Amino acid sequence: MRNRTVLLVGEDNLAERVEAYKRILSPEAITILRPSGGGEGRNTFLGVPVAHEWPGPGDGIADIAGEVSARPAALRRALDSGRQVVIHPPFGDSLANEAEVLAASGGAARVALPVHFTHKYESAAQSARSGIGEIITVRAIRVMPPAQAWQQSLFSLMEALVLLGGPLQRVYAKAAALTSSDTDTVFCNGRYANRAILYGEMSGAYPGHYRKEVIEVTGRDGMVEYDSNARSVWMASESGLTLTEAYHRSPYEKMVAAYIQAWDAGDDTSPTLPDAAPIMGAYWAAMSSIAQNEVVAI
Amino acid sequence: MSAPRALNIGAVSFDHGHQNGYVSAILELPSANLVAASDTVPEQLDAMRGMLAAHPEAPEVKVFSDYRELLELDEVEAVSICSANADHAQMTIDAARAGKHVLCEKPLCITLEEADAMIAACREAGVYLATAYPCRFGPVAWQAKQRVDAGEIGDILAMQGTNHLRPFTEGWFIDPERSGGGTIRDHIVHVTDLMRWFTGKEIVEVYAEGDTLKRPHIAVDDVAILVETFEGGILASTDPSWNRPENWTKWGNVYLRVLGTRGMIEFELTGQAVVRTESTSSSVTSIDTSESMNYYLLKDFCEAIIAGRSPLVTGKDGRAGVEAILAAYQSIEEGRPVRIGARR
Repeated sequence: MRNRTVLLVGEDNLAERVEAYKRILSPEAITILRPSGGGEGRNTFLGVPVAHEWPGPGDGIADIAGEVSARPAALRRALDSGRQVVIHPPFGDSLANEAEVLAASGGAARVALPVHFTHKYESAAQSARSGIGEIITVRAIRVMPPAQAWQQSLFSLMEALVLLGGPLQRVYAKAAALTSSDTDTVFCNGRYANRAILYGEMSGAYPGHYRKEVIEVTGRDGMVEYDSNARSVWMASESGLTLTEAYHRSPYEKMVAAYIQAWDAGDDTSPTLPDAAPIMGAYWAAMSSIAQNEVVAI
Repeated sequence: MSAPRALNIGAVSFDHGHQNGYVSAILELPSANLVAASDTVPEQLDAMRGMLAAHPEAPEVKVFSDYRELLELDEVEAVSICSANADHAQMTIDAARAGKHVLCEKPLCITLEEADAMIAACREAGVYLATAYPCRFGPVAWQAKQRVDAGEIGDILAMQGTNHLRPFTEGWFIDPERSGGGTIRDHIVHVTDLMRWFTGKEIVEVYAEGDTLKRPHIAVDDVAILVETFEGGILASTDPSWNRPENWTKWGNVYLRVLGTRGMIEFELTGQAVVRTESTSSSVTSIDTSESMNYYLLKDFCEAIIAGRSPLVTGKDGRAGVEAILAAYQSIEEGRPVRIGARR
């Protein structure tokens, strides 16, 4: 595992991604790709090299995020160069297009699903699978400072909803640009395949360091609930109030380690594809609903 | 020096348990006198008598089985109506025609036609119609509203609210003929009213999902989630579900989070609580320590009428709640977002 190299494409959540790989690989094996810059250099803050051109063919990993519209080309380039890819969704222009790319990669491309590796979501989902009866409502609220493209935040919201309640049957979504020029907030509701009702909310429009994550699954015989503001670390300083997550291994580190382990084990079929497919379907349905102001079946 | 003027109130129907809270508030208020009560169910009047007996200065209260007899009393100046929803309209119209001011339990009524008739009857009789939305009078809601009005969070952009409940609704609450619906009919109105109050704007579009999933055997909806758009494009959502577990620490909640251009504010009306855990019991009890919303609701109602001004929460506010309810049910039936406001 430690002989691998990784090329990080795109600035989204860059510090979190670099730190995750540094826990697994040597810092010298990690390169940030910034095609727009000139010359080679080093990111002094993150302590890893920076390249401005795509390296030649190799057997390393490309971790691709950044500008959503640039992701498909970067994904093709990485796969063509022989790399394994962690691709941040969305990465195509339709559900069919994304599914086709994944299938054609033969397991070399895996969809980043960090929510699946986030302990509170894992635990809540696991807890909701037994003891609370049939699931009847699910709420997932993810309000946090923007660190990634809004489309990716919407995908993560859908990932949370699917992880907690299963495949969706239909979705209605409203988007708005509340405090920025681009979309920063989405509210949605809809139904699961089992008729349970869902609510999802993502927003990067809140001020300062305000965060709020709500995970709530109610069943006929009980409920599972989590509120970040009751169970995280609050800090007051001259710069305001800060709410931080507390963990020893970041969800991203756990996800990357799992993916590398799967590749090393020679698992050609993507273990993430069955997990990713219903999320991708929910995401594209939500995007369609936003565009048409209609309820969209999945 | 003469004693301050107090409003003579008749309590009409105890079908909704909130009437007990209102009677309790009336007994505490210097500006209110409980002079009469009516109910068709003797046991409900007995329960009220028990409450009066426990009060150190219990008034003499005339009791009737037919509310129309109560309305004939000259000394009754105003009534608090807490019947099943389906009876609100007729009782309010009868009270107005008898010259009584009305505090009507939420939701105001079943249809917009009823709401219009209630408002018209009160206007024609020269009496005030108030809707019992006590959440506006919760101390945290009141303070949050003052801070929003002072401009501390700027212009409102988005809101998210919940009004959950344990699945304790029985009797007429789950009889669609008497209630007009379940969790949507009963529970979106508090959050909707808080949102209207905070923004000063009306809902223009609703998409709702609702169903009977917590207690599949009942005949009304018990879970729902609404995504709403207010005037000016303000995004909002409301979860009114009766989906808390039976042994949840609280009866339910009323929560609101408001995002503005310069900040945000959130509050939980039932958040001021002491939690009690007993080693011999599997349940945890949450004891509400906030000041009584009902007290301040009744205080405003009484003082407004004595002063000859409109109460804070009017019949128009009640009508807006009914409009949101009907839009939500229409959205569920038609499976699409519904535009509202055409009949305002």
